[in-house]
Amino acid sequence: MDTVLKKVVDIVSDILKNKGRPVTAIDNEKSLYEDGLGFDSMDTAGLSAALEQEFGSDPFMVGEFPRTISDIVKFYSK
Amino acid sequence: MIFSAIQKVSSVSPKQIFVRDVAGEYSYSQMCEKAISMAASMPKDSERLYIYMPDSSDLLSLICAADLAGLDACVLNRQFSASEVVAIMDRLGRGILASDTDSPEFVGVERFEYRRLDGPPCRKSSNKLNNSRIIILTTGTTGSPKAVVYTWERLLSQVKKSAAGCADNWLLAYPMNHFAGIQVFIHALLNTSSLSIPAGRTFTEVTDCLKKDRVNAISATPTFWRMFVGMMAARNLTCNDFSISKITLGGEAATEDVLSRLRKNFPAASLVHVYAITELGSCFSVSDGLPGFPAGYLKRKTGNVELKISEGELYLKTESHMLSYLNSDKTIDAVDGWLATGDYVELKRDRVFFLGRKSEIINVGGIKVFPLRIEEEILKTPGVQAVRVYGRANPVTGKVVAADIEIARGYDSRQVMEALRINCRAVLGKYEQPVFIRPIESLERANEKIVRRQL
Repeated sequence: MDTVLKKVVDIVSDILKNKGRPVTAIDNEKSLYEDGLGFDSMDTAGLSAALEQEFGSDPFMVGEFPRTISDIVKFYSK
Repeated sequence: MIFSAIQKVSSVSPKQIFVRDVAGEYSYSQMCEKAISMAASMPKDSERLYIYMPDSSDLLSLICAADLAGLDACVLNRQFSASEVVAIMDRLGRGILASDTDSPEFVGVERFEYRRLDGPPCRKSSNKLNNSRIIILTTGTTGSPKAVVYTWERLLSQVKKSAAGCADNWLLAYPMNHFAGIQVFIHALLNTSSLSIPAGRTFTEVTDCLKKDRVNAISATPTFWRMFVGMMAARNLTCNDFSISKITLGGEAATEDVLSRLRKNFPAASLVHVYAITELGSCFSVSDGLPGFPAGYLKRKTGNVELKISEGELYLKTESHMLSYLNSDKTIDAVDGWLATGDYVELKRDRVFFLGRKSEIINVGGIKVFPLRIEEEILKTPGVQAVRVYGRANPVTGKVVAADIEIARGYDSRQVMEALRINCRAVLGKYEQPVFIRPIESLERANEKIVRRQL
């Protein structure tokens, strides 16, 4: 798996595990939010912080609002 | 008045040892005589003495000498640079400087050569004996340092005296530029106790002093105590290696984690925590070894104060507060004599617990979170030596909870972080969860307190 993709999937998996919703496989095109994986505002804040810690920046910081894992990966491949 | 106090003790117990430092040990009468010599040599036109040197018997004598000569005294943080010293003297108002160090920056500053007192006396004892003041710079851990002014009379009125005090030997764990250092000094003096000043603040220097001088009493911050018991464990030391029988905590909230560690490590020692604010003085103490204070304190005058809670904030009424800030008319903001402390508290059955400073509240997506509670939980994780919880900017919720942690020697940082996360998830609410955690080598400290300035 591409390194960026793997790191983003690991981060999202951790958040889901901490919510008590471990998953074995995540659909990269599934919505992160209530219409998909169920992230609320705190989960999203945690996602932003974890992405910043891993990559030095995150899409939320620059005003973007990625809907899916694929959106996040696209941000880092720009 | 501080000189009168030492003169009084000296007349009753002249040979009682008052101060031990790296240079030797000095009785009350010796310290009194040194202060008299110093006072007689002070320039007659001066109004203020700034003291910039390591804590020592000389420093304490200079404080007493300044009072005798009618000068205000101000002890400066030894960690200031020479240029910072000059800047402070310019800001607060010039005076004479007693220092063990020379610097090109001090050209133009009037010096008091306290080590060479062989000239003719040039100053008579002051007629301001009851009016001279001590100027204390606040720590600045939550903002810029301010210059707080007290008369010695007001400070001395706060001290509790005990007939058994003459048997105590206190460690000077706080620096003398700090309100708490002054408190320990005057407590020892008014109780005819001894005071031991360590050569430095490393664990080795402190423990060498404790053992050499058989120190039995220490007043220090919870941060100091956490480090101390942590280092004891790392070096396989126990309470039997020391003579400590009196433990006092102050300067920061005494939380359950540090109190329980102290009870475990020093089971026979008395355990007291003191609530004090530089501007308000030493307000009250709690001696039952539990965090917070008994709800009964709200119903009667306790120590120097009356207490009440209003909208979750602790208020107190006291006559012993500072006179003012220096060069300012600004004094305490009081409504009908009640002063807001800035500390949020919670009354639970028969106990009042501290939640944290108003200024430190973190707003996470509209939910107010208190760092202190989160720190208390994090500190229960084995391997966490010290922690600072703060708000970190977040594009989604405005702020999230962040924590910088010091990991104790011998612990694996990844395992500690994982255990910490598990513990927090089990105990803390959703918005209290630390989202950003980083292990760091050493938290910033000032005067043995964790610095909490907002980043």
